[in-house]
Amino acid sequence: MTNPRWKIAIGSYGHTKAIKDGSVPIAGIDADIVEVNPIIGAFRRMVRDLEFDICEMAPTTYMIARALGAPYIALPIFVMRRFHHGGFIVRPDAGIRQPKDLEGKKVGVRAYSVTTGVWTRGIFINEYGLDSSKVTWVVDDEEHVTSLKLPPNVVHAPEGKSLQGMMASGEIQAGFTGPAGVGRAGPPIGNWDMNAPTGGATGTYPELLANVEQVEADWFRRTGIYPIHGLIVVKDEHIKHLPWLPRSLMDAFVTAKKPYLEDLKQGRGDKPEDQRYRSFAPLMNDPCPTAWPRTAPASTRW
Amino acid sequence: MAANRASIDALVTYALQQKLIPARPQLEQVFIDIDP
Repeated sequence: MTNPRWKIAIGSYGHTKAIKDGSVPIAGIDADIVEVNPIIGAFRRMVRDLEFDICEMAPTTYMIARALGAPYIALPIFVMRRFHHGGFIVRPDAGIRQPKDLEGKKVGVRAYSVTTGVWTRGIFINEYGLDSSKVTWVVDDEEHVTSLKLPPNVVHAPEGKSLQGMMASGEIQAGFTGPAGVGRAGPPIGNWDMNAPTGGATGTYPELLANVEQVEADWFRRTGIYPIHGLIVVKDEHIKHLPWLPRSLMDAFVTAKKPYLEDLKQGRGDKPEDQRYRSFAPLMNDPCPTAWPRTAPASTRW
Repeated sequence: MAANRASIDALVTYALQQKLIPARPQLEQVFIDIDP
């Protein structure tokens, strides 16, 4: 009996490399790896067209889609985690010194439901007392789930304008960096030039929260929350017909991340992602965002 | 799965507060529970 050949879209990370290059197979299936860059584009294609059999997806997008009846389910394989107190910049002339000062201001985010935005808004609301309804959230892309009904304080950027340009002109006073906001232009359907001149906004404007790495570390120690940012979904029909599939996928992802963890421990790899995970060493046993280990005894920390 | 609860619960709470989902889902409705 031959294995089914399934379309798989996952991001290119150190801990997924061995799956994507085939050196770690997924037992029982033949992987047809589809490269999507940025991987955010795969989320949209999966939500709208069910294009893939197995797909990485942002957790907020997944929860919204699943609540509306999406025929795929998540495995607790978290291929991306990151903290979200940072990655939020303000114009120095806007008088924004704390999250509460965002009330009455216009803030740029690629789309209202992007996971980064949900995490950061949630932190600002619950930790810093922000009334999000008093902020005008300015978006310049579509929601992945197009039927999502948005609050009245979410507005789309004027036709032809980008968040980058609006940040530069002062039409918005704050925004998210990177793919969640001013660090790109346009929809996630082609390669984003993250280094375009206006994309340099990330380095041009100050972060809202000072000493953000320390703030995130303190929050993690207090709450135990290491935010999930990307997970794996599989079509329901495959789970129904192949009940061993979740185990097979989990085993593959856990195996694939081992050499990457060793690289991190040995100081190999200098991509921003490598440096970020390595910086988490004082906080956790396993910074690599696959499944969270059930225990992390201090003696095994590195 | 238990070790992931804090992060999942927080994100679900935030999504509810921001009116992105209509109700808090049962965990087994949205995740297949499998140990690493």
